[in-house]
Amino acid sequence: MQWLTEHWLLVLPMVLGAVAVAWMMPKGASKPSWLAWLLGLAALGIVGGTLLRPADGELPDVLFHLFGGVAIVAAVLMITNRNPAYSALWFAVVTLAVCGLFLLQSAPFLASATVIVYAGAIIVTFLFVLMLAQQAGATNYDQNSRQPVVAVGTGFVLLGALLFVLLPSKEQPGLAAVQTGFVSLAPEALGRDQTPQNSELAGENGLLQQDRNPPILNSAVPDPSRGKPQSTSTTTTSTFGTMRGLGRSLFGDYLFAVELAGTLLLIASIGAIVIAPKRSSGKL
Amino acid sequence: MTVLTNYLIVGSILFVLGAIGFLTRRNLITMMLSAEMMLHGVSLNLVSFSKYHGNMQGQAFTAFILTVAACEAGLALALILTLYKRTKSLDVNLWSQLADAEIDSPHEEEPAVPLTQPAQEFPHLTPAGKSPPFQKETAHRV
Repeated sequence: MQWLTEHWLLVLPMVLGAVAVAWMMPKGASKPSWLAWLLGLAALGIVGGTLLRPADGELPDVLFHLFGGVAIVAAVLMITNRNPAYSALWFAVVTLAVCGLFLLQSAPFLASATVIVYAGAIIVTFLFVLMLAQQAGATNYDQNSRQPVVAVGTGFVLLGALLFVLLPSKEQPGLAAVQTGFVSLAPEALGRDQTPQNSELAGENGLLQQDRNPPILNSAVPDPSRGKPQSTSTTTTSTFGTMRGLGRSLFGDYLFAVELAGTLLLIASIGAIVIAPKRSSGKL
Repeated sequence: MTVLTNYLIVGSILFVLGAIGFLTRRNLITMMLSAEMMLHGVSLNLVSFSKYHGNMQGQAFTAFILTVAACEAGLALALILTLYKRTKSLDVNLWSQLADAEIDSPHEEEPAVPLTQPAQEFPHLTPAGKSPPFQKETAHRV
């Protein structure tokens, strides 16, 4: 009971959100949804207003709240919609909001690639299959979800556990001072952030990277910004978040993984052609 | 500057909502979309850690997640079409007989609920080379 009174700010939005999502789940006849909207928005407001770290009111914070709220609301609407075509469209909204968050985290290439791959290719293919397979309109199995209360309860218990780990608590008061949330990682991260200023650390990292990287790669892709071959995993702040930095990381540290990913794409396309129903074996 | 924890919270919420959708929905395509949303939550976590540590490893991992998601979507759609060809339905409950015979069915049989949306009738194209049945249709109308 004392635990509840201490952590009511975490428990309350979980309960409200679980009730809202379970209420909106398609089961039986359609229910009025304004109550679920009210509960869900209250839960989201509690999470956004109190659980998140205090923001300075700068533009990135405003954009973060905007994109995050849109992503979560669209995600709930996606999993609760009775029409799978609308679900696919809400998933496109989730993708766009997540791409906005990617942009805020200085990943412009990933944002554009995700828009192209997900919203441009995957959603369109899903809609094609949907129109091919479900021409009769509304179906019975879309109106009845399977064990919604149990699944929603399990999911929100998992979410509460995750948030309990992520959020700062009274037992660890040092977290708020460090402003990170991960004390064990903090010294290394701070050191990494100061890599350009800390010449000793940079030199040490550079030596390590030089030993680890194949020398051919280092000589084939010289970095003109520095005299010596620069490591790719300790990208400096000048190349962080740019296409150049990502390209160096992908084709430097992860060259073999990139080749493997290309092979995986080839094998997956061959497999899809083999698995898909043939035209010669009858109509779909 | 928004800190790391906020992005991790949004990523975990997206992951959990995707998991709920995967567990509850019965349409195969909606289940696949929910799985893709779980991947979005994981990608958001990786990108946030990439920004936090100041290196590009998280973004490189996210690029690989994107690749694997594209492969997964292609293969899953091919499989869904094959399954649809057998049962003429996207309902995943029709495939529950894959379990052992002595285990009870995991889902209760619901009575058919009256649909909230009326079943739509789409126009059918007349096959080429055949004359459409004008007489019958006019007779039906009259």
